[in-house]
Amino acid sequence: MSEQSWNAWFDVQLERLTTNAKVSDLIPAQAKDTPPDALVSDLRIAIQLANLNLGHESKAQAMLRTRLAWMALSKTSDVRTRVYLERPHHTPFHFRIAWMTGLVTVFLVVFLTIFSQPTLAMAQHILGYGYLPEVGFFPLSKTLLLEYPVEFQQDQQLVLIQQGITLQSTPTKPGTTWLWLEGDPNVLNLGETWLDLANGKQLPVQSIKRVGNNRIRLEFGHLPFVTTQSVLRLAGGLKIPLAWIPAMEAGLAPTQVASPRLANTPTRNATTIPCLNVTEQLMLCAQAAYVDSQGTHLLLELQSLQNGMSVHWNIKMVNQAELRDDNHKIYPMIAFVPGDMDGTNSLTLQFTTVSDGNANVTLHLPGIQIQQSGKVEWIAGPFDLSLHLPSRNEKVSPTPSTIRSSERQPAPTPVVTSRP
Amino acid sequence: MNECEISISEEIQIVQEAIKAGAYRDGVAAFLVLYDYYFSRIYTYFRYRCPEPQTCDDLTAQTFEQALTHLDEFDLHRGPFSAWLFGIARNAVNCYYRRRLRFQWLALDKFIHFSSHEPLPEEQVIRNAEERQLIAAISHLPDRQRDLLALKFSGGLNNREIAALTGLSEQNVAVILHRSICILRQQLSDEGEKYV
Repeated sequence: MSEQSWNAWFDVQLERLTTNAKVSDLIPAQAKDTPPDALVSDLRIAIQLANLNLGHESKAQAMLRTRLAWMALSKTSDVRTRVYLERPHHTPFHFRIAWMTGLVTVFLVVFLTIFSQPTLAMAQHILGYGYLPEVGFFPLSKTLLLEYPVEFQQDQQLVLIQQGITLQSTPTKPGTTWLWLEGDPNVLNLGETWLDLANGKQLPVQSIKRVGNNRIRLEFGHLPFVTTQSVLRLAGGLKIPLAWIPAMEAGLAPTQVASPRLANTPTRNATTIPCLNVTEQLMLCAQAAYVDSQGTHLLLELQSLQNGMSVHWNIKMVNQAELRDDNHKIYPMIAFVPGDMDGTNSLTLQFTTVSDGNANVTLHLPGIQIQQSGKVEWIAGPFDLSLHLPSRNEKVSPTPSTIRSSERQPAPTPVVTSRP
Repeated sequence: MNECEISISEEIQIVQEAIKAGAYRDGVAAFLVLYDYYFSRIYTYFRYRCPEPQTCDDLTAQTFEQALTHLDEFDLHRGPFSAWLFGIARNAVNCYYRRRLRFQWLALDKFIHFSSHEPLPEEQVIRNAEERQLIAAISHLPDRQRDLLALKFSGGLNNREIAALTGLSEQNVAVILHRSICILRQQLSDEGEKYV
């Protein structure tokens, strides 16, 4: 057989290999024409490649399987309620997830921090952001959320701990834990309030802020990322157990912004970050977006491409920013929130709510004013960044709607309430 | 390739069941069957492309989450499920590398060299010396060759399916695969113990 024929024979054998043909059928023991030794050696390499299975390396197979099942089940509300009500008070399952997630995150952060501080920002960019109306955008990588709300009774009044979040420290901001309580604040005796942690530490309340008619926010120091359980202690001996999960596990609404050119492909990867070059040394990226009835929220980040150079937003001209959809409708900016996450320079812009069905929009900036090396500089535009927004969300529900009883001491009779 | 093979007809049946019943409802069990079957292959695909096992874990998770989310968009008439799934995987790792290139303040080259030359705890589970040599040899190939080898041997895709995913011609795919295997053969025979 000619060399060309043998090459064709080899290609056929490769195809048969991937359809699970027997090895003995691929390399003939006896043949009228013996294949060249090189081809036989190549085929043996191919057999090794076909047998290569590295799945045993992964420590995440079981955890991911559980998480996928949880993702699927949590989409059906009555299933969610049933599952949560059946969940025991404390399960090692959550501890394993929190522990493994924490270990992977800690390993990644420590491993990369050897080289550069901005690697922390890199980890966040890979893992993405979540959004809560009271908090804004926050990194998923190091954040804990209250796993489910808790309702308790004080002085014949029902009080609901509706939501909680703990944010880890950054180079510019200390970590913090917030708990939102709904109920008549006049009946809440918060004079002696603290969080008991499983490691024996206590976090005293740092501030109590009224954030609505019957809503207050308690602030504490941040919880360690491996926290799964804590107890909120109130005056009168009231002890309310709280469960925490990593934000990545909470089934938050997606916030990934994609490039519109990838939006209609069957295998669209929604984690592509749209960016544009403002200058050769400066890049603007849309890290995350969230759309609800309150508006279209966009997390923007400025990044200098020059090593060691930092850049900051100067927000003078930001109020002229706007979104434009494919029908040329304009959504003006209504608010902005400066932010600073782990050394990167971020800014959240809020526009009016984009109409339903208009996921492709263009962010339009007439220019960008920045501060760099102590100098203020205006970079004239216009700058247009095409975005594919995530789906609109009507309700933010990062934690499931399960109510559990609270323990009250010294009163021995627990109060159990449930919601339909 | 795997100890519990699923035939093509069985795979079609499982996928159809997952889509019809809805992966977010009664079809979740069917989807998990697919997950169990493809996990190792997807993970191994990423190990061809990426030396860091933790990143491979993240990319594997991302791939299956995307597949779960978009399962109702899968169309059997356009190709087999494996090709669709590995298309998602390929997108995931390509986007990962594109993102890493954008953030140039991160000394990624140092990180890559560090992770590929120093022994990692995970390498202890690789008991087979031949396997270690093979992985090390693969890591020295250009990314395109690693991608095609991974799609072929981990993904189990034929040349036509690989061509459809990569935009190359079938003939080009066959030539690149053969050349890559030749290079691996030469590296393994010439370098020998260097890769242990």
